[in-house]
Amino acid sequence: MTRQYPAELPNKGPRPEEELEELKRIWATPKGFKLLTVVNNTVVGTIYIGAAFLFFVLAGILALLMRTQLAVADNNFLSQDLYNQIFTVHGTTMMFLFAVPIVEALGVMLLPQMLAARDLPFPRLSAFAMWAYIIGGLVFFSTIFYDMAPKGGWFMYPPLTLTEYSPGNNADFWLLGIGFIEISAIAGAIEIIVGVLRTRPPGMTLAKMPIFAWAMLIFAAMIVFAFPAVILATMLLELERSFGWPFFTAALGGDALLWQHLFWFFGHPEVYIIFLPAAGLVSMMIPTMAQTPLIGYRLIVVALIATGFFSFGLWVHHMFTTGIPGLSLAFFSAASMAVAIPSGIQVFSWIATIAAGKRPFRINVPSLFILGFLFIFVLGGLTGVMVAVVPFDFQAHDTYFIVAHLHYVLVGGMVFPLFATFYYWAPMVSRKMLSERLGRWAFWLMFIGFNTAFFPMHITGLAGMPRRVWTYSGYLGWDLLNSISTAGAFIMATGVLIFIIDLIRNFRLGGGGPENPWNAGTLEFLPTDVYSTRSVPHVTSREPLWDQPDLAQQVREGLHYLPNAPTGRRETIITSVIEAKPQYLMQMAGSSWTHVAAAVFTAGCFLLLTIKAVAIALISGVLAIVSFIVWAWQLDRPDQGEVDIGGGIRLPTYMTGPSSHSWWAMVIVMLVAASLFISYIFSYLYLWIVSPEVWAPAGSPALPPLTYPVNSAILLVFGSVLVYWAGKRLPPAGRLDLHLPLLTPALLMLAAAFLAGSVGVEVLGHLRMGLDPSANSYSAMVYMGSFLTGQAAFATIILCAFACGRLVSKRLDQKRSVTFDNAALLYWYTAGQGMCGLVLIHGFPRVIG
Amino acid sequence: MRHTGSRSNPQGMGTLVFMLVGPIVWTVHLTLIYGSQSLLCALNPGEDRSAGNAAIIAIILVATAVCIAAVGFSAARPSFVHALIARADLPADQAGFIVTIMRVLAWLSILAMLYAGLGAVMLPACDQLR
Amino acid sequence: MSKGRIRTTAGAGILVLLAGCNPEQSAFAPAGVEAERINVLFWVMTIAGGFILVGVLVLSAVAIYGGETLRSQLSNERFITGAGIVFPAVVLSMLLVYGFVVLGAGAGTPPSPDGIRIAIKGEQWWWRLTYVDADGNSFESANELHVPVGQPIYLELTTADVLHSFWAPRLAGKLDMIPGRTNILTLTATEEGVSRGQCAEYCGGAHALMSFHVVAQTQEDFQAWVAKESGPAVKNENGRAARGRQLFLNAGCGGCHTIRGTRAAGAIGPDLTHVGGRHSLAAATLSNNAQAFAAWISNNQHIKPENKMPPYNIFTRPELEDLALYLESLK
Repeated sequence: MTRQYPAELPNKGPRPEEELEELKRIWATPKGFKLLTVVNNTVVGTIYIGAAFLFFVLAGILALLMRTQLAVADNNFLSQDLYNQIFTVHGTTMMFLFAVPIVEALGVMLLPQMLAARDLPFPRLSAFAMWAYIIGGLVFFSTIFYDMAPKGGWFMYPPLTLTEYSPGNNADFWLLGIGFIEISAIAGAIEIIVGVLRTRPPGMTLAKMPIFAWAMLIFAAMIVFAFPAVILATMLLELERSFGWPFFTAALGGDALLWQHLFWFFGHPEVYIIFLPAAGLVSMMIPTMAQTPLIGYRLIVVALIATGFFSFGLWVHHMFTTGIPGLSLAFFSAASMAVAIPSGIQVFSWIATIAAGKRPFRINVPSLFILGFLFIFVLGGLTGVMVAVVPFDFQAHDTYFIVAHLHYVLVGGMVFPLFATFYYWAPMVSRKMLSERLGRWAFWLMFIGFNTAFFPMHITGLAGMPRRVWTYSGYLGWDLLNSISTAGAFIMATGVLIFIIDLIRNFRLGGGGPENPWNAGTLEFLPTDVYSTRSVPHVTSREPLWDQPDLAQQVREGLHYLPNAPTGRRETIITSVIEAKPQYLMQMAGSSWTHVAAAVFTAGCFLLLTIKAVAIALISGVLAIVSFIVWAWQLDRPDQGEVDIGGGIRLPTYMTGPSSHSWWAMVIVMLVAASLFISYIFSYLYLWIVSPEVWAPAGSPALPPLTYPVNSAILLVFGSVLVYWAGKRLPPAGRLDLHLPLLTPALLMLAAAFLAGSVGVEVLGHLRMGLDPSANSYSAMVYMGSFLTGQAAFATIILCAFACGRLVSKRLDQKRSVTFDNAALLYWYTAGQGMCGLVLIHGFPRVIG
Repeated sequence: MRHTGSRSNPQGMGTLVFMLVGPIVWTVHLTLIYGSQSLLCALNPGEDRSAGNAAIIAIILVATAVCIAAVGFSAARPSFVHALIARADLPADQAGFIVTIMRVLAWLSILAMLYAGLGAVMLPACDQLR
Repeated sequence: MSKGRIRTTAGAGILVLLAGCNPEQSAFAPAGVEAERINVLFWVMTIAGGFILVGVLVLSAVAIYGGETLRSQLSNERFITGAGIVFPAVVLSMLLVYGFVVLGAGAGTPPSPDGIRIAIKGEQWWWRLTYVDADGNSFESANELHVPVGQPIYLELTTADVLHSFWAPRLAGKLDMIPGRTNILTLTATEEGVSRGQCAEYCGGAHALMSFHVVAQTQEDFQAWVAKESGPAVKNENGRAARGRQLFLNAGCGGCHTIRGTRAAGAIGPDLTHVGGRHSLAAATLSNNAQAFAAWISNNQHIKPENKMPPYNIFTRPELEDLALYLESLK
């Protein structure tokens, strides 16, 4: 067989046989019981999607129970208490255990393929996030079977959710469930941001990135800024429930609206966190179905970014009826209008692309779901603009009009594109495609059922029916509308059932399926195996598969970059942010029990705390930390020297400083921590505005004398200097004969002790003055500041100790310094946060006093 | 710090920030107007609050004007602003793309800020309006 | 296109479906100044939104099935800019201004200084109403709001426990009741009649059964009602009702309830001085008659689960009837 290999490609063919064997061995999926240790993104992605879909079905069954109860007036199918639990679990599960996780799962599944990366940069982190989520989610959901489910509604407004009105553990299980999704969402966000910005194939500049990658980048960035608000809110609520720190109790200077601000500062971006990736998927599928590049690519990028930002200026529109001044509402009404424009851009870009097709738009199952999405989403968007008009919301708020609106935007905006996605991308991981015939049945039943169920609810709501009522009186005449809605819900459920039948009949995990069945233009339809693509293509356009007809063949034959495994382990190419120039070869982690153990013990710790088994919870927590340490110990492999990836490019295999992926990940962690702390500062100032009368010096014990904060600050400054000094005293690389480096670890441990001391001095000062955290909202906020800095200090101290261990075992030197760099960054961040805290806690009351 | 790789990554971050100038200023604008209005309304509950209310409206209008001017300037002089933020020239082959994204975002942000400022023209500063 | 027809049919269907509804709690049947403004706003937005939806569907249909030339009109960035940026910006600007005008109208006319103030306190799961006249005289009632037609009325909304939201859809939009705050809602009834409202913010357990009636009456009728309602309970010399009163007082009902003119002065539950004269029992859960009183006293945890009144099964059947007759007589 003779074949001409184009000379201009990075590597020459034919490639040696052993290369493929080696790749297969290195990237092999573990078999049998050890499948639990898997980190390969397609397998993790599939399990992740499967789990999220399970929660969709479970929460959907709860919806059917509710619809059955509401089908007729004065019904007794469900009891009041059970109904209240069911609607809480339905909403919580759909939002936190289905919508966000499945989007993350799609990112894990699709992004490496779209970027032709071997895997996402932190494979164990995604697997950890998945296991933590599955365990936490299943425990949370199962509470509905034991009458222990939360019943405060999915946004859990205090004071109803305080111990006084919600005794028992029910509300704590909600906080537990949310705790898990917070952890896994942030882990996923770090993964996705670094993945999109740094693991793109050479040549894939920002302007050539697939829209889904843009959408996921913005999705992940939004998580970084939105989730910390709800993390803080859940911490405050749990502290008030468990220890009586009165953040939300008006009588002690707290405020119920603080929760609403924090929750919706997360909650509204959350809606777009769910919607943007789905819109990104639509922007990927429509060009394929129209067989033409996306019209308005730039405008869609603008729309995604603008939506990401504006969605942070909408949160008060969930609070239009709380009695806030009208002008404040106007600001948020304005932003709610502004956010409609990016959606308009996307809708008309899709229509333009459909119109641009060289042949008529292909009507098949994915495109039917997309068209259904277009109709439902536009209708939901229009009702969204209606409720953005403040006076109309006075009537519509908290009625079935809102129930209709939110299901139109969420089911229309997210679930329909998701089903299109299932049909469109199934051949990427399945040997068989899903059935066109069953798919059409599923679509029409879901589409008709959905509109039958939810359209009438607009009318029901304005006819006076509030949401979250378990029954209604027959003489109000809402029966007919509700019966229609119930019928629609069951029709829609039948559609989902048919999809499940289709899955059972046709979905078979494994390669060898049809290759690029839709003739798509993007890299995820390149031939792949466990190692992703055989070689990493040089990308020159947005639709490489259309513009480089032989690309699939070339990639499979290993003629592009990195056709082998030069370090003999898992690795992927790291490229620059804007221009995607290859910078170094990243050595990646493989299968492991460590992250599984970390997930199990983290889950165990939270769970046991929820049921107040404190001792075993602490043991579980310690085991979780040990698992994390063992996990991290296996990372940061030594430099393997420069390697050739083809095209005359030689890349280093180790990188430190702002070019390294770990530096970027640490910066994102710091952004999360900073967002959390800014939410805290907001909460402190907010409660002061509401209840200045409890603030020191007038309303509470006086502040500690200035010696306390000054000493605390001095410890922070000295600690930071010690860390800097330790950085200068790292042992030189490659000189293993040297005696143990003792000074550097000593400096680090001293710095760690200073950090602990700083937090200790601060707490001690307030205790000495007789400040009791449960006295009022001011005292609770004072200790909360130390609590947050203490948390960051705890992580920093562990990281410092870890770095010492690496130093002593000679795994850390001037060149191999990533572990130290991370510890130092986190240390300086924590010191900075601590300083801000001191200024706020000790400065602010002195200024106002 | 020990840099061994390309120096383009911090500049890359600068370019990302440059693209987001409009929305970032919009964020600052919303924080300013909502923060100052809420604070001053809460601190100023007296009987005659017309002076305080006029001050609130003035703050909002000035903030709106300044922020719109800043974003408008960025949209008009992208190369200058990019050099300011990223301390580098725009990447040659993507300059058009990056500047277009930045400009359209800037116009959308200006519209959003106008919308928010409009409230101050049409509505009283602190009334509940219920 | 079939979807378009579905939408149009649905639009017309609103009226058909509403025909089955009782308009007592419907925002579609405004009987107050605020609700009327919002109703007009709703229809303007709905009709405009309907046109936009149909427009998008027509454009989608053209994009899929249209001829080559028609489609080429749509397949460029100019079309996206026009339809996706300029058009929405224009429409949204107009809507925003309209919305601000309606919002600003909420400042409205201040109530006349001699007007009555009404404090409404949400409690799990009923409404405590305190009427205060210009002289500072006040009396308490529950679960029924009486207002004179044509006069702006101040409602001071507070809560005793968790969040509630006061919503009388025919009169005005809702306003939340928040611990530590007093929210003022001004509403003006425009026509006489009885309408219904309901708690709109989920408040736990029996949230679904926390409703009330609004009675809008002429100024004269309202004054007459105030005169009667502020007075003590009727004296019942009738045998059975008098026995009922004795039962009420002896069984300790006065620990929670007040009946002015007797020694029952409890402040935990609703004031029952004129309970027989209200349109409903248990926050619009039951109709108001002797059977309903009897059912409520003995079986209230089944009728309205989790409510704070314990079920009283200590009475014999005749005793229960006497008690119910007494309460019903408290007009």
